[in-house]
This record gives sequence, structure tokens and C-alpha cells, in this order.
Amino acid sequence: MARAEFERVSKRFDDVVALADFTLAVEDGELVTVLGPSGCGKSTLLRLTAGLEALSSGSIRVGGRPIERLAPHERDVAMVFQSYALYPHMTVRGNIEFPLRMHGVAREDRRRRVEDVAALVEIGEMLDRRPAQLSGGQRQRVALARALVRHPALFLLDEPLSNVDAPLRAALRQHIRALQRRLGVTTLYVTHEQAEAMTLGDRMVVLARGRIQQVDAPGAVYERPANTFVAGFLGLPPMNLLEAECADGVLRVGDQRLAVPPSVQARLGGSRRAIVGVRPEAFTAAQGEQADGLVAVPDPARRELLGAETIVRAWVGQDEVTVRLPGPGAELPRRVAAPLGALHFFAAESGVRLGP
Amino acid sequence: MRSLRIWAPAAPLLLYLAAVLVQPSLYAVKLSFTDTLTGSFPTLANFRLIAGDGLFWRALAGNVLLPVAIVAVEVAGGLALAVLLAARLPGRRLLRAIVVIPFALPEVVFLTIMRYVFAPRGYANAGLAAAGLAPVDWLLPGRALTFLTVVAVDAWHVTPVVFLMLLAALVSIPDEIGEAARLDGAGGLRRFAFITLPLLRPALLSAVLLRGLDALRVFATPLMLTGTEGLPVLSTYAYHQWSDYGNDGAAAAASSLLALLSVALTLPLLRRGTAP
Amino acid sequence: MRRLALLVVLAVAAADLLPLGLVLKQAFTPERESFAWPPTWLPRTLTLENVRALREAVEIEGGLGLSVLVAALTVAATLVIALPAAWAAARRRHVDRGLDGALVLARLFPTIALAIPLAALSIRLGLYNSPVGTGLWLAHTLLALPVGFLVLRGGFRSVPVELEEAARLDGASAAGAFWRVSLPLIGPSLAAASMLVFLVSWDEFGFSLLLQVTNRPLPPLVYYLTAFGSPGLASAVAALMLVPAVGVLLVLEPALRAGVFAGSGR
Repeated sequence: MARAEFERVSKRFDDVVALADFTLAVEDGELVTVLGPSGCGKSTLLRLTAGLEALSSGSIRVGGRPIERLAPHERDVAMVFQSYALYPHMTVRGNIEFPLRMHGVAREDRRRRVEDVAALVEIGEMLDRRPAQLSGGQRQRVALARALVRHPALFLLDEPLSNVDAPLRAALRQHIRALQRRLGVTTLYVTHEQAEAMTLGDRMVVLARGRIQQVDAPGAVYERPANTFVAGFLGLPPMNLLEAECADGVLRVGDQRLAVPPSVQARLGGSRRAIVGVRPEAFTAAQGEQADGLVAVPDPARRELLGAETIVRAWVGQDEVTVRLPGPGAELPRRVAAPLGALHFFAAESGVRLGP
Repeated sequence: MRSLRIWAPAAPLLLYLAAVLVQPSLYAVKLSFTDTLTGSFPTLANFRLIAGDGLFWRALAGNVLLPVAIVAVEVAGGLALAVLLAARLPGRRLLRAIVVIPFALPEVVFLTIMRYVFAPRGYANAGLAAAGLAPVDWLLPGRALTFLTVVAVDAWHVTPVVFLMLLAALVSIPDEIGEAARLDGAGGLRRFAFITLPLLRPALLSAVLLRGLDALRVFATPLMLTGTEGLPVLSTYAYHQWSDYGNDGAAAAASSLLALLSVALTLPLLRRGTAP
Repeated sequence: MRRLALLVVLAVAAADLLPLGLVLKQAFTPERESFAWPPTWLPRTLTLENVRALREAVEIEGGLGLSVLVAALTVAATLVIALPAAWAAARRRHVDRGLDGALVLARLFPTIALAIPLAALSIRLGLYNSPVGTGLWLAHTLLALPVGFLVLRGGFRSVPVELEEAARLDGASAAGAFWRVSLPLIGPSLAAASMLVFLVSWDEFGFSLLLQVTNRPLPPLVYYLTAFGSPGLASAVAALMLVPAVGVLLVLEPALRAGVFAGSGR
């Protein structure tokens, strides 16, 4: 149980930069999720932390102690691998007690600790079985038990639910969260699934191409994405991003003109171009002809009826957007609108958030 | 009768085996119990003859000690090579190909050159002389050094096979398991002992079985290196009876004992399902 | 640790290349170099005199011819016997299991245990020491069957049974489907099996030693020459024996490697 600090951690493989300038402080007992597409560097981050790869530069401290030069087993870090990496020739009990054996824990102590942690993850009855006889969910719990039996200072999870069947995922997610809270172990949880990252973490790190895009509580990241990548990555369906021209406080997007918030205009500087973002769920049916916000015309030929809601493509001038409307969608409104306050503004070249 | 039609294509094979395997085996048993000189049957004369021959008992001992030593050296050597060459060394593809070369050579060719290597005026002694050491008699009859030399020659020839089997098994162990063990605190040696070796057990057993079977029946190696009396084994003893004394019965008796030994020792292991 | 590994491996590689190198060296250098003390490691003079002696020694020409003949007959016999059996085994699991068991039994027997009764039998049948090696190729087939069966069965397994079923629907008999559809499709396996069987017979020592006395194929001839003859000549014959062995290995090496290293990703 300790604080974990990453300071400008970088890793290069020959010419490829896997991770650049990663800086993050994880508080004692916090669960931080790391979200990103495949190849973004999240697995590299875990392997560097575990000591399976060496850093190119930077430092990692756990409980104030720098660990980047220590061997994996000296770091007091435990990891659950994506494939679980259970020892196939040992029983569940053998798997869980292996790290204790390696650290010279006495037999009686080992037995007690194995049984305690097995009860915690609810695999107490399977201690004498072998991994091959277990289901995916059970194997995952064994992997959890093996990692947690050492009471590590830092706990790493590498996409632990990716090999689990969809129906089980939500339940296991909650199980892991409850476990983490109960033990109060500082945790880094890596995933490419938005839903996991959004629901599990106290804070969320969005990672892309080896660089941090944003670090904040999940709600904040969702409501105020720091750049167009984060904006387009979170949300299902993703946020609509439209090119627009901003001049003298007036926004021209598609065939419409809207008012630009002063704070945004200020940050634009002299630039005339910007990117406007609007989430599909921000649109509602427009009453009559009054257009209060960004207006779009749904295309009835391109809709998906999902029962509780309807996804439909709509036109903003020549541009297309995706709109999400509640209800079965038998009858589509002729026009929909998203209020001005729901619009996000980003710089055209860098994609950085301008406001509000 | 459908069953008959299904088995029909296999009939030539089964008939062939009956003619060339079953029938001669039975004939061999008959020969063992037939006195070569007088033709009387059945009789234990052959067995009494070989039991009274000191060379036979030396051959029997040799047939137990030699295979044990050979298998031990070859499996250990093959394992060591597999471990070394499983790692990501530069040029490992080439090295792996080179390691297989001795096995690619026909047995006779390999043994021929080994005779010249270990001859009194051979290459091995030349090497020793170049290092300022006295020449050694590598293949004198009845000596311990001879035993070691024969083991070394056979290992030189066949270790590549064991190496290939174990290498295939070794590289099929997922990397992540070794990494998990590193995280759990197991250093290189302990990872090998607790993780790698147990996971290699099926392949090791297969290798021991395969090599053990071949080593029990070793014939050309001791024959070409030490003749029929230098390091006798049951097969060379049987050949000796056949070729030097013309005694079919005694030869058959000795070779039948060898067959019995082979089958008895390996059949139970085969049952365990580690058949190659 | 890696340096140590590299060193050991290089030492092993050198040890593995040594026999090959020495055979070639002794084959292509004059006799006196091989008899000299200390014997030379690298050739001082290259010569073809051993090769010439080869061609003049009648026994060797006969031996070569016999080796080739016996190997060819072994290939033919093995294919005739193994092809239908391998096909049946590829299509039916209990035939497969039965034949596997039978072949395991075949591999279990020591050569000498079979060679002696076979020699005795062939004397009685007048097949002993045959100039065309009749008994020999029959015996070699036994050794070749496990390998041939394995390779051919693998070939048949990779031909989908649906093709044969389609042929049956088109009016072919079971044998017809086998002959016209499956067999042509296992060309590579046929070639591989033939090469491996050829090699088994070409290299075989035990049966050759016991079943042939004056009409000897190459392997027992080499033995005889090392015991009673000149190193140069013996090495030349040995080098001659290498040709098919190396040839087969070069041709089959990619397939062998794919089979052994499959799934490794390294």
C-alpha cells in the first residue's frame, strides 16, 4: 500500500517510441485506469513498472523508493497478465503459493495466506484443481489471488477481462473493484474498453501513441475532453467533429451561423478555423422552426432502431453527424438541435481543447 | 462384413508384418530352442551354452550399462543444447541447422570417421600431442575409457535428435509464464527447476523412451568401434555367435533375450501414452 | 551467460562439422596423409586417386549398384504396402489406432533379433546372399514402413474427405476415388516418403551385414574396408554414401523445420 510516482518515463525500441514522458502520481489506495487503443503503449507501461523491460529514461517510485533498477521480484509489484499466465502443471493452491515459496515464507503461514486470499476471491473450493479444469472466469480469479497473496505495494492489471465472456464481464468488473477497495491496494488497470475505464477508476488516463492525452476523473474526461482524440475516443457512438470557421465571434459550420463563446474566441487568437464537437445524445427534437443551437436534419433512410433509443444519421449542411434520440424511433422529428452550451471547441491544427 | 471392407486396404501391411515380423520372430524362438549341432528340439542347450560363456555375461552387463549411460548423456546434452539455443542468440537458425548435421550422416559413415578419430595414430591423439599430452588408448577392449568413448561417439551422433524434440517443446512454453515466475521472485535457476522442467516432462519422457529403445538395440556403434569382444552387447554377441561360430541356435537365443529385454522394458512406458 | 552460451554452441557446432570435414578430407587426400603421424587436419594435397581407386575396385561398383537397386525396390515395396494402409488410417480412426499399434511393435524389435532368423530362413529358401538382394529389400521395407506410413498418412489427412465423397457421387468406386482423386493430390508427401525410405535403405547396416556376404551393399562394404583396407578408399566410399543423404536433407530441410518448429514463433 503506497503511492506510485512516474516521472517522465520513456521507452524506445530501436526507432519506435513506445512511451514518451509519462508522468503520473497514483495515490495510496487509488485505482487508476489507463485507456487507449492497441499499440498506445499501455502494455509497455505495465511491463516497465513490473521490471520486465528496462526504462529508456525517467524514474518510477513506489512508496518513495525508486524501483526502476530493481529486479522484478524486488519491486513489491504484482501483476495479472492478460493471458493469466497460470502455471499449468501446478494446482490452484500451488499457483497461489508460488510467490510465497519464492520469498521463503514458512509452510503454515503459506497455507493460511493462500486460504485467506482464496476465500477473498471465492475460489476456496478449487484449490486442488488444475488451471486446465477451470473456466476463464475462475482462472482469472486464480491469477488475482496469486498476485494479491503477497500484499503488494502496487497492483497491475493488464486487460484482465479481455479473455472473459461478455456476460460475465460486468460482474467481474464489480468484483475486482470491490476487492481493490477492500484491500486498499494502489492499482493500475490497463484496458482498451471504454466501459471498464469509465466505471472502474477513481481517475482515468487516456493514452495514445505513447503519450498521455488526458488525466482526470472519468466523468470529467467525458464531459471536457482535452483534445479531439479523447473527444472522438470516448463515447458510443463517438462525438461528432465538424470543421468550422470562426471569425469575429461568429461560427460558420455547415450552413449555419452561431455565436462563439468569448472565452473560445480569445483562445483562438487570429486563427479562423476550428473544430466543433457535439455528442450524438446532445441533440433533441427541434420545436417548430426556431433554431436554438446547432440544427441537423435526420435522414430517415439511415437509422438504427435499438428499442430504447434510435441512432440516425443527420445532415448539417453538407456534413453528416450521428444523432442519438430516445425512443423506438418509429417517427423521426424533421429537425433536431443541440444547444450551444453542448458544443465543444478544439483548435484546428493541434486538436487541443479551446473551450468552453 | 463392412468391417472387412474397411480393413481391406490395410491387408497388405498386416500380411507383410505377419510374414516378415511375426513369422521370423516365432522362427527365432524355435531356433533358440533347437540344438544347432544335433537338430534336436526342444532343448535348452543353447541357453546353457551362452550361460557358460563369460563373454555373454559381459555382453548382458554392457547391454544394461551402455544404454543407461547413453540415454543419460544424450538427454542431458540435448536439454542443455535446447536451453542454450532456445534463447534469442544471433545466428541461431544457422546454429540449429549445424547441430543436426551429425545425425544427417549415415551411421556407417559417421562410425568410419570415428574409428580414425580414436585410432592409436588418430586425430584425437594428434590433438593431445599438439597440446603436449601423451596419446591415449581410446578403444582398448574391456576398459572403462573404452566405455566412455563409445558413449561419447553415440551421443555425438544422436544428441541432435533429442535436441530437436526438446527444443520444440521448450519454445512452446508461453513467455508470459516465465515472466510471471520472474515477478513471483524466481531467479533463473529456480524458474528452470520449478517451471521449465516440469512443463518439459512429457517431452523428456518421450525422449528417454525413444532413445532408450534405440540404445538397447545398439549394434553398429560397438561393432565398428570395438569389434565383437571389446565392448560386447547382446546384439554383437549374437552376431559373434552367428558369424564366428556359425551357431544359429545360440545366436537366436541371445538375440531373443535382447528382444525380450527391449519389449519388456519399453512396453509399460508406451502404455503411459508417451509413444512417439 | 549469453557469452557462455554462444561459446558452448560454437564448440558444439565445430564438433558437429568435424566428422563431415574429416570424411571429405580423407576421401580427397592421398593415403599417406591419412597414415601419417600426426595425421593432417587440413588437406595438404588434394587428389582424386581415391576416387580412381573406387572406380577400379569391382566390389565397389557392385556394391553401389546393389545399394541403389535395393533402395529402389524398398521404395517400391514400401509404397505399395503403405499407400493403401495409410489411406485407410487417415480415413478411419480405429484402423489408424490398430496400425499405429502394429507399427510400434515393428519398431520395438531389435534388428539383430530379426536379422538372424531372416538370414536362417533365407538360407533355407535360397535367397541368401542374393546378387539382387532379394531378402534385403524385404527386410528394409520393415524398417522403412513406420516412416513411410507416417508421412503418407499425413498427406492423406490433408486431403479433405469431401473430395472423395464427391467422386463417389460422380460414380467412382472407393478404390477409384483413392486412385484418381486422393493419390494424385499427395504428390509432395509421396516424394518426401520416397526420399526418406530411400535413405533408410541406403544407410541400413544391420540387415545388410547379415543377409549379404559377398554381394554387399555399401554400408557393410565400408565396414569391411575400415577393418581391412585403406583409410583413403574407405573414406571415399563413405563420402560417396553421403551424396543421397545430403541431397535428401537439403530437399526436405524446410519441410522438416516447419514440422519441428511449428508454433514456436521464434
